[in-house]
Amino acid sequence: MHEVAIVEDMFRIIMEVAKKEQLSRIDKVHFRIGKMMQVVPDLFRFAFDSAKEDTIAKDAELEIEYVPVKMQCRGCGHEFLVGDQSFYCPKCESSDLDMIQGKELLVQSIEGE
Amino acid sequence: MEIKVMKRVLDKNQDKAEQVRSLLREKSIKMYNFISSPGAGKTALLERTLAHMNGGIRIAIIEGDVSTDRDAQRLKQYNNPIVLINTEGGCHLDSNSIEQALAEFNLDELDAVFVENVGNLVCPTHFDLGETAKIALVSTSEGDDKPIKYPMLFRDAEAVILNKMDLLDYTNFNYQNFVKDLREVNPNVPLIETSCTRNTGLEEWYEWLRKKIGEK
Ligand SMILES: [Zn+2]
Repeated sequence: MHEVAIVEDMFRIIMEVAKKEQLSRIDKVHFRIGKMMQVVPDLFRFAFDSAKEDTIAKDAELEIEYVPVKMQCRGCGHEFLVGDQSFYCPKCESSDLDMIQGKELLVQSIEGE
Repeated sequence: MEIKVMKRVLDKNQDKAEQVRSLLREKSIKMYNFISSPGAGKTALLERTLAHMNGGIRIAIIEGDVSTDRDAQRLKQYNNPIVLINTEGGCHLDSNSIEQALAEFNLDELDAVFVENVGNLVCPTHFDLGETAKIALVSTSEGDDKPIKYPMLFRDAEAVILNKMDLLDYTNFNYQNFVKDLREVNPNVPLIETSCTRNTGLEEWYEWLRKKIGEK
């Protein structure tokens, strides 16, 4: 249920932006989620729909972009996407890896007037 | 119109966590964030550890609980400093509540802080508390698929404890599968097998802990 906490913080951010840009209505929120963050889409959307009630985002749509987990091997430098949770370099079989993508939780942009 | 934002969510928690981390480093205190499902035996493990370390390593406890102080009551008899954080239904602790809890201890008289996080394998994993390391605790009564289902925790953990080894023969927990899956996710993490009720495997855990707490 960290979905609720993420959405709360998302609303803090988008309301700050809306205020600064003097928006009276938010129509759309573009949000990026790394696959490693284990966000359950249904719970996330439910949390979003609950949070937007009685705000200037009450009719807003949520557009989610999911980012796959990407690793870089510290041994040979090879970069690869992690498909089936197997955290080994497919080139040299090293397990000494850096996660370079997959932990994103990012408000990319909002649309509104 | 579309407005570019590009702001990370939960950044405030992260910033606070970094402040906590540097405070602990300055005071040479190690903080361990214990994460498990409910009933895996976190409190039992802490009880054993406090009894064993009795004064040798000066440990304070931060106890995160959803609604009761039952676990905190169990730990109180060991005379270690303890602070209860009641999350009132919240599924995880955050760095802000940890900072407040730490303010209640005399940090100059501590070697380590153990944080018993809320019983849940997902949410606590995503909130950095400023800890030195996360410890993942699983038990044989829970099913062997935890590493595959919760890869983030098992990748982040600096030690994995498999508890209730005494019950292994009475459950459908597949030990080989568990180890295989854990190694897929995290090939190098120490796996410590314990039974807190039978007092087995704990020596290895204490050894690990003593070594870590002694490290600069
Ligand atoms: Zn490689």
